[in-house]
Amino acid sequence: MNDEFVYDILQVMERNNVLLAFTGEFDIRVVNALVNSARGKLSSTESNLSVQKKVYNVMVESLESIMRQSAVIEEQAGTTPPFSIFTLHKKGNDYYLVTGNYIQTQRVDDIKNLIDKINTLDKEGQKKMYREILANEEFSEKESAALGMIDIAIKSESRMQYDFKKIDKDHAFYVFQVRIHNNYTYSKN
Amino acid sequence: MTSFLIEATDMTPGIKFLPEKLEFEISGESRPENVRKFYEPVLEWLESYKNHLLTAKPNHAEKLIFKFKFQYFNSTSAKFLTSIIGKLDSIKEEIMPVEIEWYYDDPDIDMKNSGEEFSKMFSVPFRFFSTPNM
Repeated sequence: MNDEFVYDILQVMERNNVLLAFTGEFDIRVVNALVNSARGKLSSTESNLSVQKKVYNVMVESLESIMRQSAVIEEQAGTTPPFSIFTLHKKGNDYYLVTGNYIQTQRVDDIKNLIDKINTLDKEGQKKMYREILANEEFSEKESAALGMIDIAIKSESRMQYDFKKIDKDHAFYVFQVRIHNNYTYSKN
Repeated sequence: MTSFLIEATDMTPGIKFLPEKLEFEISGESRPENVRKFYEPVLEWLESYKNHLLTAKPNHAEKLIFKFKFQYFNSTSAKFLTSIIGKLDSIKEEIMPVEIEWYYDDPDIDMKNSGEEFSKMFSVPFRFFSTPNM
């Protein structure tokens, strides 16, 4: 029995201080299980309540974004998209949330442009954009995605990072990373 | 006008609208699986209530206090909260004094900021309250 890879995965996760990881289909039950698990874990290991809330907020928006994007692929292709991945890890005092999921190639530029635009705005500019989307009568899938992304930027107070790997002519693998700073020096564990 | 009550769940907020007492409160967590399906009846009730107030012509000395006590709401919920606050803003403009009370956990500065962003979008006055254990 070749079970070495399981141990290897665990070692990689331990080395990178992974608090939570999941790969599979992201539906509402999985998202609920993950956010409840994160809430429990953070409340016992992270003493700064403000940081706990920030990680939770960013996590919900990121997971909901995967669900939305997977639903689009499923609707168009008529099949369930390949597995997505989510990890939450800690480096020093800061939290890093990384997601990876398949998207349609035609969406790549929209996502790049959106993240680039938000990253260039200062805090006030981001808040203004947030208010403008809320005030807009229209609320399409595109605006919903933009609102989620701007919310992540405001709550994380950091620049978001992305990468796209070409899979085939219709699909790309989209990696998204966001850091949640924790300037608080004391932690319970 | 009958009351409007919804029990809170892990994903949806509790709603307590008691028009006879002029008490209105939304509290808890808001990330419904179908946000539109959850909030549309709330908005419809508020629209009926506004129409009721237009005919009832309430005493202007009375004030409608609307309390938001969220632990968390996702960005899609924020879109519908904007519509709710917009409705309250129109009641304030056309019918009677309205005040929004925005509660947040003491260290949850993001929840306070979210309330401040809403307050910048409308003329209805907001009062902010930090609570140690909500």
